[in-house]
Amino acid sequence: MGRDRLARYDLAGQEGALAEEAGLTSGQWFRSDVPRKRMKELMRRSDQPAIRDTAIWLGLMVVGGGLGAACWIAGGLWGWLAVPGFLVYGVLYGSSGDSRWHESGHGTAFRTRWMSNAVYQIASFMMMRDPTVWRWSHTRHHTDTLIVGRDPEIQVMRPARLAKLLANFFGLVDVPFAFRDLARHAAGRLKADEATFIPPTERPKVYRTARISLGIYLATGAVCVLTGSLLPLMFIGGPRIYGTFMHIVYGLTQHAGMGENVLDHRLNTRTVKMCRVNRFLYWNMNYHVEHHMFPMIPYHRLPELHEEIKHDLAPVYPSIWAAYRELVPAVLRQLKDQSYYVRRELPEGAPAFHEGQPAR
Amino acid sequence: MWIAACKAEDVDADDVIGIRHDGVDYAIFRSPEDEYYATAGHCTHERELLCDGLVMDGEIECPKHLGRFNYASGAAQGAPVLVDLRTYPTRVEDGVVYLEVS
Repeated sequence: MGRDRLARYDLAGQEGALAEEAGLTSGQWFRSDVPRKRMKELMRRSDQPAIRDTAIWLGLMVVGGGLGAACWIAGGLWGWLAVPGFLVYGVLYGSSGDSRWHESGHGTAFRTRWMSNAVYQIASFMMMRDPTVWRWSHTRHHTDTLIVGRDPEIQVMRPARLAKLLANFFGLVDVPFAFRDLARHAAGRLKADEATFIPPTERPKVYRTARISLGIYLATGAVCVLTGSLLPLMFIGGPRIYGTFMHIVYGLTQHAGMGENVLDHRLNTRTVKMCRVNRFLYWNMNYHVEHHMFPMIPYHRLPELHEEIKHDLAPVYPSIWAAYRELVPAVLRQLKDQSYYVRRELPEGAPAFHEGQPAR
Repeated sequence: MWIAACKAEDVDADDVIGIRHDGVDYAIFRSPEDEYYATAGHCTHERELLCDGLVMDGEIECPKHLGRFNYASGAAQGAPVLVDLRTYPTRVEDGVVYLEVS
């Protein structure tokens, strides 16, 4: 039964066609009314915030990685100091790489195009995501957010694959699958679902990037063998396992347990208040309703956008803990009752939810 | 056929507005040098009105997936937009912007 229901999420299956018939694909999503003049202010691009944040991000990686490597090589009691060093390096690589991938992929983080592209390529490599495949995947995610059979980025299905979700706190499913995909792409082939959203003209880029990435990983493995040390893996590839847990912690707050097949981000997405450290690591993607409603707003202007439209939104979750107190029971309940989802209450006077029609 | 699209002052410099004529949407652009351009109203990637997007450096960025077009030539600037935007001739007379629609 669970397997049958999960088949609905297959992009190459029938559910996507049903969603299209129901008018749920490429739909007109609810957007708050923001005056054009204010929207232009919020959309305005600037290099400065992202250059500052990228310098801090990479700088802290140098410090954390340097400390980790020095203590690793020194060994003995000093060796234990490698743990905090690599924890810093690993989280910045394997978790913050996700938010950097996301923001630079949208092209809003920097004003200067090459800067966005450079960070996008680096962060895609860190997160073991093909930059072309995931650009198109994320494009579809924004077109058809949580539309079953259409959205390739539904992290928590109904019923949830709990073992996979938990294993991915340490990349134990994502990483092997990433290498399988790398090998497939390097051989010049795509998966059936990838072929549904990647235009033919874009495919040669996928194959080329996979061959380069595979070459880097093979070289890293060779250095490990030649030196008889795992240290190179601690820097390249390894953080996608030992430092990736925070990107799952953040990512699950976005949509888990929320409504599917609706055309209103207020119904399928959460905005969660986070402290400055988490907002730095996550590049303000905790303002996720705002991001989905207006993807052209740079991450550093999202708090202002929130103030602009909060009268239309359900109350924000005051903390990550508050979001988890809701989403964990909801996901567990969906194991038995797949019609259940978290329904938010809108403030008085806000436009009603724009729900669309269920595909089934 | 030339149609009156809008007043010249309706469009801010380095910005865009949307108009609809005979059920068809168009986007009217004004460059920082006060030149006027017109394109199809919707993105070629998905049916999204471009007049809600960001105008910057001679390009219009779609508000949904942020695909970019050169608004003078209509040329798509890369993924996710791969098909050029249709453009229309414009002229300004007595403070009114006209565009030629077929």
